Amino acid sequence: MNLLILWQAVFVVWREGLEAILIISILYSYLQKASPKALPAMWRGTFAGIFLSFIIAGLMLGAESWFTGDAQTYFQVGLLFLSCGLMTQMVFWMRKHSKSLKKDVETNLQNALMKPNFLGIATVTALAVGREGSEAVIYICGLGLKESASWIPMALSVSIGLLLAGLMFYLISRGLKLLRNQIFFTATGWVLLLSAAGLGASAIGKLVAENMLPGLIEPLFDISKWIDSDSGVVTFMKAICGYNPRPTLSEVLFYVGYWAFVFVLRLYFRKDIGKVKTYEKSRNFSTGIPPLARESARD
Amino acid sequence: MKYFLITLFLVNFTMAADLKIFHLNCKDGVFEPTTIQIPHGEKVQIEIQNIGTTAEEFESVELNREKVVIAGKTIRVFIGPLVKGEYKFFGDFHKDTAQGKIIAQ
Repeated sequence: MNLLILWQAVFVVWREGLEAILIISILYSYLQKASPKALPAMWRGTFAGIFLSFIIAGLMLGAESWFTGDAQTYFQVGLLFLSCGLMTQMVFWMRKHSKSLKKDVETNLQNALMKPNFLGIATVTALAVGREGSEAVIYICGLGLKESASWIPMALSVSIGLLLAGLMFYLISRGLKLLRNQIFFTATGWVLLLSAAGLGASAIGKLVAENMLPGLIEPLFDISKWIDSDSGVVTFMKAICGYNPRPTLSEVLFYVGYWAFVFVLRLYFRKDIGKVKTYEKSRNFSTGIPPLARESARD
Repeated sequence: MKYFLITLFLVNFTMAADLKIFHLNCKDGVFEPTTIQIPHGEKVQIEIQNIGTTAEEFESVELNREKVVIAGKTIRVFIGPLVKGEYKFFGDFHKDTAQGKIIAQ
């Protein structure tokens, strides 16, 4: 097996993992700051995601007719919409949670409201890893079948790819740690929402691409000549927000609708958080115990 | 607005059966042919057959298409309607060698 193929394998593993790594590093940094209890759920989700990659890849490679063609598209689109929805839900959970962190004490009321969203966190992570991971698995399997004699260099290049992914995870989460809390919570929330919007829009795009949904106007605009599609910036933008230089009207409608929905939710939650604050104030007033003492007493 | 959308819906939603079909083979990191000429302003179907032994992912940033073709399998991709011009595509699993373009004319 020549060096070029090895290098390619490294690169494909790393590139397919990019999107998952971005989401995991953001989640990890967030949970570390705000809810360390939920970290195991995230790691479990990551491992479940690796498992999921193999299952999806196995289905695509193994199942002859029913999982190719339309069924496969519906499955992918389903995963994308599910990820979009769960991610949005998680951001709002995070927002609520970090608002409550700003107080010097967590009251019982908040504990009840802010139960760590274990299942949500695990699922979001698993889907992020599984979606992209399955493609890497298919790629590696294809190479493995061709170069059947050389499993060792193959394993080596996959390991290097994973190691690079790990390094990137480390660098991003380290970098995020440097941000001040308030900036951190705001920025991570928006980045995840941007990513969720991109996932949903790309699900619509997939349906249009398969002629299952009309694009209405194809494309609505074209900016592909402005930014070179081969550039790293585009790869990055595709990974983080589903960049599409030639979106159809259907995708744009979804995108606009999604953000409208997010802003309505924001308004709704702002009201909700306001209520919690007043409730807390009255509690603090009625107990009359300094927050710190109350915390240790509870523990 | 509503009627406008409904009209758009009807005009745009062409059944797959009516579309012109173009063929594209991929074989272990090479596309054959590397250039496909399609009519502009029309939705077309491209059938991509993987005649090699390794998997490939047909991808085009400009056309927003991304689809895995397992060795020995055939997939279809719908493209267009496009305005006149060139649109690059590549094989994401063999990015160095698998390059091609679609020319809408």
